Amino acid sequence: MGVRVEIADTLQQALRLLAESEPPVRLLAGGTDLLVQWRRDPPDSGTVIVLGHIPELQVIEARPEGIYIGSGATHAALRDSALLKAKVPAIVTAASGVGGRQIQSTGTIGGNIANASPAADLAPPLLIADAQVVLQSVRGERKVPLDTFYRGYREIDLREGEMIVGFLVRPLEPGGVEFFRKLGMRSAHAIAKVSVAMRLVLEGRKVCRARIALGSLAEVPLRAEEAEKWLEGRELSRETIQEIGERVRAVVRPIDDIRSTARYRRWVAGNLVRGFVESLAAGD
Amino acid sequence: MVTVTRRGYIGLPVERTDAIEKAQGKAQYVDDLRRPDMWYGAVVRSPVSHGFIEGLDRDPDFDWSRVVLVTPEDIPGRNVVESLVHDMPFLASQEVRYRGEPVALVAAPTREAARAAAAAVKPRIRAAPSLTVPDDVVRIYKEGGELEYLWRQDIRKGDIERGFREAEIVVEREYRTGYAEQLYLEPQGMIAVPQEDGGVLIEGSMQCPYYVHPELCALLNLPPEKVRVRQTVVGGAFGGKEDFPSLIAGYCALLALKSGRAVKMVFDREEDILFTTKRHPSWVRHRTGLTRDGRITGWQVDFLLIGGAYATLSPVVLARGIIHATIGYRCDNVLIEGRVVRTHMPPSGAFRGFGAPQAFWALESHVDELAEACGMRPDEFRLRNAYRGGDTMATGQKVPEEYGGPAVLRKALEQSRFEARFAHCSRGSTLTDRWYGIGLAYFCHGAGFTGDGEARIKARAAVELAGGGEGGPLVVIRASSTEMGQGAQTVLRQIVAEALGVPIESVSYPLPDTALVPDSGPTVASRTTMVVGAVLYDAAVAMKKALEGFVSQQFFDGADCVLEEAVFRSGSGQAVDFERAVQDYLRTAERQQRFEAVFSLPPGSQWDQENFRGDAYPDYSWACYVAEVEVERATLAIRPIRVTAVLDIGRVVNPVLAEGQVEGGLVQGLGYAMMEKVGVRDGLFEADRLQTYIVPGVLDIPEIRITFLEFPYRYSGPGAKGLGELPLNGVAPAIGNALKHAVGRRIHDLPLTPEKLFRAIEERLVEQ
Ligand SMILES: Cc1cc2nc3c(=O)[nH]c(=O)nc-3n(C[C@H](O)[C@H](O)[C@H](O)COP(=O)(O)OP(=O)(O)OC[C@H]3O[C@@H](n4cnc5c(N)ncnc54)[C@H](O)[C@@H]3O)c2cc1C
Repeated sequence: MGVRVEIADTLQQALRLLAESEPPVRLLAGGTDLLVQWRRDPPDSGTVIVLGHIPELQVIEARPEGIYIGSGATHAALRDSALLKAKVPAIVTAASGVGGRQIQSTGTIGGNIANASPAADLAPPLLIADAQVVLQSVRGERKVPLDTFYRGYREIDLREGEMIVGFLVRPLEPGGVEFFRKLGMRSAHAIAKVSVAMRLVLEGRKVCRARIALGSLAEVPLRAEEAEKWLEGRELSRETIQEIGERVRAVVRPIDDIRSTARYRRWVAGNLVRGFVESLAAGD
Repeated sequence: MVTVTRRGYIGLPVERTDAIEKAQGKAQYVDDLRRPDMWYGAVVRSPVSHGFIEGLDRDPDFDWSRVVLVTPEDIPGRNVVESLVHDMPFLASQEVRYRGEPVALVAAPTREAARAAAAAVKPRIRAAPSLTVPDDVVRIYKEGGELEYLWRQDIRKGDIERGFREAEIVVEREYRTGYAEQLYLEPQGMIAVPQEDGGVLIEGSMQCPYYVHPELCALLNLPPEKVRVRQTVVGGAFGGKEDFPSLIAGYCALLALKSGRAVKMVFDREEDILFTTKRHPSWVRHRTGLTRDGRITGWQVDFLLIGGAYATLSPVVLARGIIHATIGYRCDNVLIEGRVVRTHMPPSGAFRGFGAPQAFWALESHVDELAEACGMRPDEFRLRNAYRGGDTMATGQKVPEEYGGPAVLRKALEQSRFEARFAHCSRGSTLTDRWYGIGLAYFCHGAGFTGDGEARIKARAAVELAGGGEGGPLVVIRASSTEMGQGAQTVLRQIVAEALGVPIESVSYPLPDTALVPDSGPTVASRTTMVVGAVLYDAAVAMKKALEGFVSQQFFDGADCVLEEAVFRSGSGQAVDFERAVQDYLRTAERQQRFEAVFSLPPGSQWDQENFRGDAYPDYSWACYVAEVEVERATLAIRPIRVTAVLDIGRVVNPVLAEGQVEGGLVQGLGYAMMEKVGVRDGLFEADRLQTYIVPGVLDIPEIRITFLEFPYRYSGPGAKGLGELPLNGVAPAIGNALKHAVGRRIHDLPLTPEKLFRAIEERLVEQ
């Protein structure tokens, strides 16, 4: 036996290979997650399809239905994109904090999401931008909202023969502001022990729309929908600031692990959310 | 800032001898080396933490035709690591005492085949109860439960009862530290090559060729001349390659002799972290009596180290730990009780600092608490209680009239503007989102071996004249001290060049080979520059005298001459070039080519090993660190912003390398202080890779300001004292003290993480 490695040059070719190759078939984008896993547990049969040479997957552009980010866009491409910086700045902040420069040059947004880690740095900023996951197979295309794409711990709604081709995200509305912050065990090259992304659309001091997403605080990247609903329509008052942290703490489901403790994670998630709201109230 | 005195090559920032070959990737590490027909070795390990071996089963479906298996019965000599206490077998034959303990060895043509073969050998073991988790040990100890001790040692001075009778205040606290991994870049590795005479050649990554050599003679039942040990380029060690290489060398040698082929074994990162030595976890209780005006009347210390399955180096780690347990501060009545507990984990071992970082975490945290208890600032309290000339330490060693301690303390306080900044510490104020704190640690490191160690080793080293020619060296250093990235090759060449009066390019220092070099003692204990440097200096001076005598006869009709800057000059202005003189000198074979010298302790040194009384070290290096930290209130993220470091390491031989050692030690200490954490789960170290064993990265490093004050070692030519370990010793307490003054709450166990801080102040935070 052995593993067959196929290098796809076009999306169509990749999809065909995905449908027809000797199973198990694995997709390799930047390989920064996969190669680490393979070091301990190398594959010994089936096919590996290399996605890194497919131009269609690397597109980042504004489309009528939203901003489109190809699944093969590297963290470096996200980090350096003027379009994203203007329209979905939290993605840029998150991408700039992934691993170190080497990982950013290689790792992709698609791999980050498909790896299905609750700590994936790109998940919270995508969630606050109402991201849709664009999936394709030889049978056709499907779009799934990212918050329902996550099914459970390390489980995603990716069907046999399908791959992620990109993400459609909602650009920042007028009056909108975004925030992303990750806490790791050191300043760089650190997996998030807590991450928080927020998008608030303000009219004066009133919150019209709120999105709050959290990483490493549950078995999946989480949207704090109850807290969002509670916040929408409220003034940025002292009471709001006091309360929002508690609302967020009420929805998270953190655990104790080698990186952190559940109690700390819950507390700090509330603080980060509250701190951002407070900074907006203070007008900075 | 570096203010060092220069004396020719001593004090000169000479470029590192090994810099270019390493930067260009040309250096050959053991894993780069291939030998003809070489096989790979792998270790069969115990699957349980404790148990009794009933047999080894070989998977009948595995193809054993190209595998060599070594079991304890194959050992020709003694199946025991001689080290200090003869208790650790190379291969467990009856009882296994930790999970992963080697029980058999295999070799096969490829690394993969060797691993597969190792996995196909199944030890049958009757499991027995085990003790693995450090917290359990501490709990049992405090409850007065039963524990097995690998070693005990006490230090007594004065009358402890009286010390507490005189006390007006008594402060009692406990301090803890955990396992830590050396994390040298290059993992452990060796090659053994069988020799035609039935002997064996060992090449590999090690700190101490003369530790490996006698162990292999005993293991293989070979006479000394049939075992040859050669160091290859070493990619970091930090103590982790002090004693462990004897094991892996033994494994390769057993496999090589049985298979008749060269056998290589190089651990991967996981195997290296899981099954090689770690820093001893510690639990230290200080109970201290004080007068209200801040004088220490009595000092009782309970010093517990967790040693793992076998004693190995634990007795000497404990020795260093207890000697440093109260060091620096005057007190007439001291009782220090040291213990090493046996558990069912891999043996704890050497790691930069060797018991001292644990001692100083406790001591320097505690001294801050003592200052507070009597209402003094931490700097005031230290200045009041620091040894003065003529005082005695806990061992009774007399403090010299002039020494570096008070000077580094004052200088660091002044440079960091400690007093003014201390007044601005946040102490958990709710008025600010960023808490600021400043803290200090005042500490030292006994240079060289503990007690009579140096007297027993009698370190020897030599300089040899060589022919030069084609740019070859004229002088070759023969010493067993190893370069492992710390700069030994460079500074020892500087010392010899200086003593001789020749350019450094004429002096070479090849990697040691036991067939060619005398035993200069191991490359440990911050002793190389101080001790081996002193010996080489003397040897070079003897060589210089001999050459000057020769030149004066041969060229100057008996007129006296001096060798300086590679030229022999007589009083009347005649001159002969060094190279020419050496070539002439070597023309007659019977002339002395090799000049050897031996280390001796300062005159009058005394040591009572049983009672730990006397001169614990030939001298001490001193340092004071002042750390400043910032804590973000919303996340409790702790950021060290600046460290002011003032150190007395005696004469600074190479200021750039010395600064590098301080920076490296500081950053390594920062990891120990704030990040590094090896839990124990199911008898294994939990963080077994770089993804989970977190060490600082470049962005975590604060501003570091370094100053050296020179109080030279008085009994050697170069005047250097120890530097290697000192820089790590005081980092954690300096950060811990700064953190205390930032948040208003002290953490007593390492590492200092936001999570721990949160647990400590949770109630207060939730109220806010
Ligand atoms: C040193 C280091 C540091 C790191 N730091 C961070 C960090 O700070 N934050 C963080 O979030 N992650 C971090 N990572 C993890 C990793 O780099 C990222 O998750 C990265 O985005 C993965 O992308 P990739 O292209 O390399 O994925 P790959 O390894 O190629 O693939 C990952 C998974 O996704 C699947 N996959 C890839 N592309 C597709 C696709 N188009 N459709 C369907 N499935 C696909 C693969 O089959 C595989 O299962 C780090 C990794 C390393 C080694």
